[in-house]
Amino acid sequence: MENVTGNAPREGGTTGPALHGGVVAGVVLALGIVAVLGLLSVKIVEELTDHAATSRDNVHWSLAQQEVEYLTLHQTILAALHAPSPDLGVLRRRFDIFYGRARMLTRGQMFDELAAEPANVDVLKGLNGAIAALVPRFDADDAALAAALPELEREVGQMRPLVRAFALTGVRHFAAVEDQRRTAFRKLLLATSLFAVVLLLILAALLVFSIRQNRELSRRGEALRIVSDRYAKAIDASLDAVIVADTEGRIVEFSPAAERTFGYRRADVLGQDVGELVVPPEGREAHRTAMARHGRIGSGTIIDRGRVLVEAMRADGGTFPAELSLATSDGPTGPMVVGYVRDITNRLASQRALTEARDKALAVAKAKSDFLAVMSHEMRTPLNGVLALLDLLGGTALDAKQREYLETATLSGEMLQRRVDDVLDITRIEAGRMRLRAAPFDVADLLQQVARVNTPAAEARGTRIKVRCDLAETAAVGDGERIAQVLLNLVANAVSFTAAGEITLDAQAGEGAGEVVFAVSDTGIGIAEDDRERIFEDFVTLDPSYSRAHSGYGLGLAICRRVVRALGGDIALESTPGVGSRFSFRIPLAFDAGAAALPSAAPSIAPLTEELRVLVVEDNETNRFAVREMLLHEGCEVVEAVDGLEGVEAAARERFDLILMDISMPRLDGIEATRRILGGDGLSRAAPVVGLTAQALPAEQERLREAGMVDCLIKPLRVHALRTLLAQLTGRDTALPPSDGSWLDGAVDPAIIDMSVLGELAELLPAAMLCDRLGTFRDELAALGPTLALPAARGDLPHVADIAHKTCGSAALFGAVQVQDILATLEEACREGEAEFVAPLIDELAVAVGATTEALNSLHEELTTSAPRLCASASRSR
Amino acid sequence: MALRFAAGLLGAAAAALALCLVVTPAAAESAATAGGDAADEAGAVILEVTGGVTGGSQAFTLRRLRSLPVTSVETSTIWTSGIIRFEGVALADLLAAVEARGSRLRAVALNDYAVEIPIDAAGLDGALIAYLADGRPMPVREMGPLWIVFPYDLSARYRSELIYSRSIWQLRRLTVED
Repeated sequence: MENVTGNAPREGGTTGPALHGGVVAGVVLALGIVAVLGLLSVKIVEELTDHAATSRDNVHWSLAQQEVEYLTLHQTILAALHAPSPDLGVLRRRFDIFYGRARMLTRGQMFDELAAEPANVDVLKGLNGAIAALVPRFDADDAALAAALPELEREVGQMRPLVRAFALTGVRHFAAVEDQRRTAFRKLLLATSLFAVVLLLILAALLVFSIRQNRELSRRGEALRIVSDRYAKAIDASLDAVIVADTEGRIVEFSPAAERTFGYRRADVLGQDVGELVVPPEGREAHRTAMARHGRIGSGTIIDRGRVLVEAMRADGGTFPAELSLATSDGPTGPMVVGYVRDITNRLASQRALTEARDKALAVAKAKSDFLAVMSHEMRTPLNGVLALLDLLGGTALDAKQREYLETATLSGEMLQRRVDDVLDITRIEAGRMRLRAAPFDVADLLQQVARVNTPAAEARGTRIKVRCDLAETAAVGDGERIAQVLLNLVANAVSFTAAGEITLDAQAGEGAGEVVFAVSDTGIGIAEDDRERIFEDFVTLDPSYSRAHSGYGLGLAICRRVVRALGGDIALESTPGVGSRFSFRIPLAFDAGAAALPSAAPSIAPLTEELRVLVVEDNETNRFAVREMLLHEGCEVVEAVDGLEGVEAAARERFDLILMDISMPRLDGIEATRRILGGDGLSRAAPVVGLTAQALPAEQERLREAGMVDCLIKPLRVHALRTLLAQLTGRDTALPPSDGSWLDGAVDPAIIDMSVLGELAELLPAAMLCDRLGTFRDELAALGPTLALPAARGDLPHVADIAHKTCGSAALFGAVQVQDILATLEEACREGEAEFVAPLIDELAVAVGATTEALNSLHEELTTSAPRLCASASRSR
Repeated sequence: MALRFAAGLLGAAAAALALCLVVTPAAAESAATAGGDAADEAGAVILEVTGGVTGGSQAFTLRRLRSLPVTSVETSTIWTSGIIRFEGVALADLLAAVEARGSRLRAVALNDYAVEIPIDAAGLDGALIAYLADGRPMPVREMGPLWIVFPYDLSARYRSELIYSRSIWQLRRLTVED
């Protein structure tokens, strides 16, 4: 019974205790009854034994025999009375026998029982007294006995009623005793039977209970079987490998998926150590430790912690990345560890592919941005030269035809310049570096200006431009320049696509507070619905015939949308083909009646003295020299500092009208030096600082602005750019006729040396000095290969980068563009840690240095033989 | 239960054996010197053994009985009060002395009471032909002169109606029958 209840499944716990209690009570009761029955049985057996081992002789026979002995005695006396010579010996023997029996009846246990009844005692006493009275007669001699025979016969005869009464008394008594005894025994048997019946009932109840329990057990067993079956099927069907092991690490279950994943057969691995089979050798120590720790403290390292990444091993020894999830569970022989293993090789591969694709896309985007920045920079430089030359040409005597060509060429050049600037703009916006400058401006004025600029072009096509401003206030604060840029673009666009129509430029209040909606409407050809979104994308022009008919290069609207978004709004287009288009944008704008629109001069620049005092902070001697020469040429007074620290000291000591600051310098770089100068209390703390950098990228320029620089000049420094800057500072027209570098035309390959750069340098320097500098540069180039070899071989990338940077500056100064390019690339590669590019670049560099040196040699020769004019002018400027 | 019984039987058997083996010549001597009256009685035949015995019949005086190995038993009886020390000759010894050849024994008393005792281990077990009670010869009035007694106190098996019926007193004759 105990066993049955003990093995009952745990889920029976709700009813279990009650049933269990009932069973225990039943069992205890049954045991008690068995004990009672045992006692009763003992009693019965004792009773029966007592019955056999009776303490009584055959009572009835004894009592009857007493009477028989009496009668025999009496008869013997009678016979003796009538006999002539009586045998007195026989008579005495008969009396003795009678006496003996009577005596026996008054002793022994038989008497004890009889005497319990007072009435019997009297009968016994009477009988005994009578018998005792006879003794003297029999003990007398033969004569006396013979003589007394008649009296004896009478006396004995008189005893008869006594003897009879005694016998009957005994019969009565023993019948009663026997009856009592039988009754008691019957009761005993009855009690025993009752207990037996109760016991049977209890046993029957327990049997019924046991049967029910059994039925319940088999039902649960069946349920359990179904569940295990389901579990087993789940394991079999699982796509993840399922391995069950005990706490010793022996495999208990190995699913079909596990067979596929690991290449073992289930039958071969059961009972084996899981660590030896599926954990790669290098992970086994950790596996063992983890198992031991789990066994010891019951909570493991990664057990019940969700999914973890591990390295797993197949039957053939190959490993694969796997996702492992462990759980513990109770098994028949103690806790079990259930492991779910998923081979994630494919997933990791696709993740990697995705990551690579993303990185590639990002790199492409960055490359595009960089390319655009560099290209536009590269284009701007020669373009500047072209435009400058066209300007010069315009100052000469030209006939009408020539002048017309010149104007066309100038227009084309300017258009190209704008587009290059647009590309730079996009790059800048793309990089998130577009800087908005909030300044007071008048919205109505702005609209008028935009209209005015476009009016000549529009009138040429028979189109009228109307301006409407529906704002209550027109004095706003915001980046008017950017707004104007967008409006100019939109109006120019409208002009292009409208012939003999009308263009309306208007501004009105938006729905939200401080919101203004600017719109440009036209009555042009309109834009098809499919194209309305597309036209805002980069380099999108509508159908090819279009672009031929109308000059569109596909960046204008893209820039507009970027700028508007940067201003906090968005641009929208409504259009009906053949009827017209309406571009509008809604942006937040602050209005301030008190703020008067100021002329857009640079308000932060300190008042200028007549002769500008300029501090040049530049570590590269050649560069410093070039800048100094240019500044001297422009009539400035120049103080030089060789690094940031010196620059800061000079700026504190003296008052300058302008500080030109190189960025990359030893000891203290230009950014930090600028911060110190502007943040300190030196004499030049209010001086405008302009950066000198070879980097045209927006990120770099933004960095400089953040440091407090008002502007930056891109190296190589151009006379024109410097003049523009100085003109801004002084407000004077300092433009000088551009120099003439034609003397060097066609002397060298422009891919190796940019003669325009060198030409500017030649304009500034005395020929002797130029020769000298060129010589120095040549030496520098000659030393470059050996200088780079050692750190490159050692893999000391920072050192290589430093060398490349230094020489790159010199190369830029002398217009050695090929070497400059390679060095710039080399520097970047080193900074980015891309060691694999270093050796090829150095090889490439060696070739470029060879070509450049050759070109320099021929230049040098030409200078020393055919340019005395240069030398003269140079000495004069000194 | 059974165990208790078995233990009881074993103990009883052992005790009976011990008592049967207490054969004391001293007791025989003390009885022999019981005085003149006793000497007369000792000369009278008090027991006849007939049937399958040597010579067909043998008569025993008290003296002759006492010449046989003496066995004593101390026990109470249902017919007397108190513990009595009986001395006499074991029935088996007597039958051996007369070289009895038969399967049963018929015992007859003075009043012609008769009972049959099988001559086998069960029948002879504990049976003693007592001639002395507490060292004194037993007169007829006190169930004498010979009384077959059993060691009733020793075990319940000596307290059955069968044993009581074989406890014949005032014994006069034994007949060995086939």
